[in-house]
Amino acid sequence: MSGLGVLIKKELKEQLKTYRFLIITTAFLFFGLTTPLMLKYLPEILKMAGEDIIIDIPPATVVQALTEYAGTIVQIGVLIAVLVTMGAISRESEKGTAAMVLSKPVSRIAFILAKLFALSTSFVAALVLASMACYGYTVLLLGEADIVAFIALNGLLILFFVVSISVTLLFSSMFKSQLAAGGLALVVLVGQAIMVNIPRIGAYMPSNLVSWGTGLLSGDIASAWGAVRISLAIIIACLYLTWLKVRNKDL
Amino acid sequence: MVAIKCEGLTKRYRDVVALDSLDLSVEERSIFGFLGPNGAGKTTTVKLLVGLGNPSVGRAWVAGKEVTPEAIGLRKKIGYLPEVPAFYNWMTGLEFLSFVGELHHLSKAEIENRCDELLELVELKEAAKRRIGGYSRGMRQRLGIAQAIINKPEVLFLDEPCSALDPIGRRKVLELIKRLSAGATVFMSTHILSDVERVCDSVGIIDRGKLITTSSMEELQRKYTRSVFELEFEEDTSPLVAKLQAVPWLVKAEQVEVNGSPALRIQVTDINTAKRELPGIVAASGLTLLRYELALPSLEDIFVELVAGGGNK
Amino acid sequence: MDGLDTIVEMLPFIIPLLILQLALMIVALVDLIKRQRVKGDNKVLWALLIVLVNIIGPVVYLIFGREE
Repeated sequence: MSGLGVLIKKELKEQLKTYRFLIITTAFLFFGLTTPLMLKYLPEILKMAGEDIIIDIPPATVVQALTEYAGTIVQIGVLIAVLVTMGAISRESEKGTAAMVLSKPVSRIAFILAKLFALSTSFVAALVLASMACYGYTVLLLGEADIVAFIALNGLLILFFVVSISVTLLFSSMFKSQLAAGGLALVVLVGQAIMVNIPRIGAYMPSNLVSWGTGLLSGDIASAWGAVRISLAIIIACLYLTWLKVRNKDL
Repeated sequence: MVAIKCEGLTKRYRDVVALDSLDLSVEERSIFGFLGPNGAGKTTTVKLLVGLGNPSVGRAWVAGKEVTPEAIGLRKKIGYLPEVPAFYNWMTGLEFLSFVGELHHLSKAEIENRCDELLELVELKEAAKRRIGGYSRGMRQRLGIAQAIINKPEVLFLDEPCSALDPIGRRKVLELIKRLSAGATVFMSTHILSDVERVCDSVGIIDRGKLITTSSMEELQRKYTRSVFELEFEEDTSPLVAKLQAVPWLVKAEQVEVNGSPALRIQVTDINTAKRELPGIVAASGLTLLRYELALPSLEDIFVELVAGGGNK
Repeated sequence: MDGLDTIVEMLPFIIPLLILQLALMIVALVDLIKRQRVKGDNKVLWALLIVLVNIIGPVVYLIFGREE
């Protein structure tokens, strides 16, 4: 894996210089902050808007806020993961920068791993900031929350995002068109999310990681190690297929 | 010692044969010019030789090692300048050079030294801290050359190194290539005959994916300087052509169209004798001479000749 | 004055959101000013988008508007 360190450094710098990191972080932070805020004040804002309407919304709970946060972050996160990854390999081979880098003493797996690592790092950093913000707001506005369960939830979210990035990375190595790569990645990722509802198979879908995480918040101890194993397998399989694709590519 | 060698190297893209079983060997510390028109398969060959493409058939060796996509050890010893060098536009010139130095596992001090040296050499010192996104084509080309030699390569592959450069820049790059050959083998592809003429020790000519010939520079020059006369007359030139057939130094005399008007094109073996004797023959023919010109054969002429004759292999 | 109380109560929580929006806007504007060329060659239009459309405006510029 010659060149991995140097390439990771370059990819991370690129995330910063092309504002990817900023965009991911801002989006996550925005939803991390607004979710508890809206839950707390929405009934009162509605009340202000029209006093005649009798609104019967029960006061928001901590679990509700954190669950909703997870749901929103997953949706936004998958979308962003696909958007920032869909051209990762195709753009570099199209522009010729891949040929430039791969003519140096760099193994092709290092080229791929550096991308996965840097993108995942951006998501981890953004999620750490967003989750801290969300947790802080929730505690201040709605009351004490189970921090261990919340950290576990965020860990599961990370795994889910890494799956999303890996899948998109594979499609990015297969298609010249970013739109085709992104579209197909979305189809696959949304498809597995729908399949979560299928009995038996559903438990093994990566989206079940999110259900497990949110379940933890309300003390549900039904684990989903099967989904964790499948997720790890998907990541490794995607990396392997991407490597095959890049190795056989004429740059 | 042979620095570059390939056997039956072939690249097919679907139905198109971009490179048709290339056999080649290039001596160490020589400058090899790979000459051919656009689309002849030069870039395909260079990419196969640096391991960026997978040959359909055949194998290649560079610096004693077989070329494969994962030949990491080999890449430490080579330098490569693509036809259109591509960069990360958000980096500065200096950042990119350091990045390439790091990829070559050079030490911090080495990188600093080499970057300094090379930026000076390719005249990018002032632009070193500007983003590559704002560079002109010529600057990008020069940065491309700098990154190709940062590791002091044993074998250097240059794909059209003089493209995008002005005449002065062109001459400088050719001088640089000449100097580099003291310690390295240089494989340069080009479609410009005069570039090859200026620096190369030997040359291979490729057309439509097929290597037509390889020869030393002297040999090519002998062929190349065999000159052509272009004459224009008011009258029909058939009597003159008939008379010329008897002359020992004639290769061929043919009627051609030059810019829409008929002309007589005379190829000769011995340029000096022809220069002396041709005017007399023309005068004796009694035809009205409109134009008399000594033309050098173009690259196309050589191609046509080589392709028609099947080369000298 | 129930409504006013609510707003005053919310204010400290809204300020970080405003800072976030402002920071993103400033980053996008600084990039826009420094950049020689943008997509569509209309800096004014981009500036308006960045300033007027919250969050989305700067993000759209940073993803699609920048050109080398």
